[in-house]
Amino acid sequence: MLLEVTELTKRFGGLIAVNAVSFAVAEREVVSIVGPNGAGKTTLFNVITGLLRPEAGDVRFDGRSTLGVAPHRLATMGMGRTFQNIRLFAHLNALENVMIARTARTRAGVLDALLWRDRAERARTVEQAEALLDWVGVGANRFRMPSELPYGDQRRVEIARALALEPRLLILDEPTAGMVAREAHGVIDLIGRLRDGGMTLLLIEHNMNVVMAASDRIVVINFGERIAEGPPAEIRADPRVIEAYLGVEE
Amino acid sequence: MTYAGLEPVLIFTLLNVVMVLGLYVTAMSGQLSMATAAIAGVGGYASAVLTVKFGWAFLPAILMASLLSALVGVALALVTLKMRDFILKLTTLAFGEALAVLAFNWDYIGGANSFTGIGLKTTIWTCVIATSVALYVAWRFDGSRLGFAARAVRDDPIAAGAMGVSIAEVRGITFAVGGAVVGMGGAVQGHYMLVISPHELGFFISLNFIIFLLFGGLQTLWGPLFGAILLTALPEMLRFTSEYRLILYGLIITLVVLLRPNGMLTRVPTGREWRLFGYVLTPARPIAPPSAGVKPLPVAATGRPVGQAAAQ
Repeated sequence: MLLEVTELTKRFGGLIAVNAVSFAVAEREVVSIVGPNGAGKTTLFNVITGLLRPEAGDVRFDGRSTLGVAPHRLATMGMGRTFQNIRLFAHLNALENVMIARTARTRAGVLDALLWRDRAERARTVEQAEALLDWVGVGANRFRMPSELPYGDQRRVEIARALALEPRLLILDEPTAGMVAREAHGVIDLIGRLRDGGMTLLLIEHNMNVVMAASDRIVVINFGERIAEGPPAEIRADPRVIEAYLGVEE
Repeated sequence: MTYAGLEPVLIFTLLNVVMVLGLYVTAMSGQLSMATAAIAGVGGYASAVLTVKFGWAFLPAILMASLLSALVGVALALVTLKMRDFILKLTTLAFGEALAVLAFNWDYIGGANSFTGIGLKTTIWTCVIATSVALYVAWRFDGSRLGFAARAVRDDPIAAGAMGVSIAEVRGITFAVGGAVVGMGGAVQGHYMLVISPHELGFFISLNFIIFLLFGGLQTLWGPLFGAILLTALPEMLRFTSEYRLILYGLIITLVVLLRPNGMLTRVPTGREWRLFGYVLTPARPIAPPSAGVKPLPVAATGRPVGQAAAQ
């Protein structure tokens, strides 16, 4: 298992945001975590990515516990992510945004820069970042600042940036949040291509269309607890899920 | 004005450029230091002690002064690593004041009587060379791997961390490189002023450099350069207005802060529309729609063909 979450519990004072949740993601698998608003998805996410420390339980990435490991180390270990509210670097253009994720994979230091010894490495970084932007479909806009790009394109840049990290696991936090249907379709298509490319994905999603189409397995949480887990067809028919998440009108 | 009258102005302009370039590099990772003058003071005192008390030559003394200032910069970066915003600025301010108090009470370096008897080594050409070195360092660092990483940390530390950038490393490096540049400036200045007093390490001197940087804009290298040159020259140019010049100086800075809160020179979106009196000078370039590429995931970028990880 590439990612193993065991009995994870996170409290905020008296509120139990995540209660003994367990699940695992195997290599080349696409797993989605769904749940209504306030179910604890984002908290779970923040614990997995090292931004929060849990009160109990363990997260193992590639066999190693990630608790207490700094976020930048997790990233270097191969855990790439995007943010629910897109977090591109506002004063860097699209290409530079993607190049940032190569920092940990390259090594030129201050002295190399002063002595012009970083040119070959820099050229390679630019080439890789351009290839990734082409792949996500925004290569033509690579010199644009994030604020100039439509929301959907910003998400594409963010995905390219996460890919530049050479992630073994790519975690997407509500990748279609706040998008109009056309943009969302573009991103769903992109997720499909990532999946076809063999990328291991952990998806936190609200949009059931995305989840049903893309996932191998779905984990449903509600009030911080895991209430169901299984392939899309099974989840779609699960009465607990329908009650908790999809709503009784279905 | 004759050249002899102009030379001190030129020298101070160049020295201010060196200091503000050092501050620019320091501030690149998002920590605006209020201890620039104190770090410059470390450089000044170090070079003064090495030349006067140990008989070092000018050049090695400056290099050693830069190195010491870099180390003090790193110490400041380590102290402030976990801090943000207001607390951070207060701590850098306190750090600078603490160094000033130390200088006041350390008799070996003259204490409150200042360090006197420094040899005159600095000429206009020394300042030109020092400025060129500072510009070169700032320019090369600006476009380097770590320079970009630093700006990513400034824009969004959490996102930068999630992309594998070590915030501690980047902040340590910007404080070291910036500290070395500022220390070099302080050493060169010491050999022009011939006296260093603890007062010169204080916050109000540092504040000048912060004003230069914020006035010019801290997003590009050209902002601090422009800010330092204009604001050092401006009081001289306004000299004809005699006692009103400081009021005018303040007014100009206030206007810039109000009208261009990010400084005079900023990075602008490339496709932006430029207008003058309502006339479109350059039309906005449209954003290209996303292309639906179906090429495989670039292998070079991910280091291995994606999907073969399981086979490892």
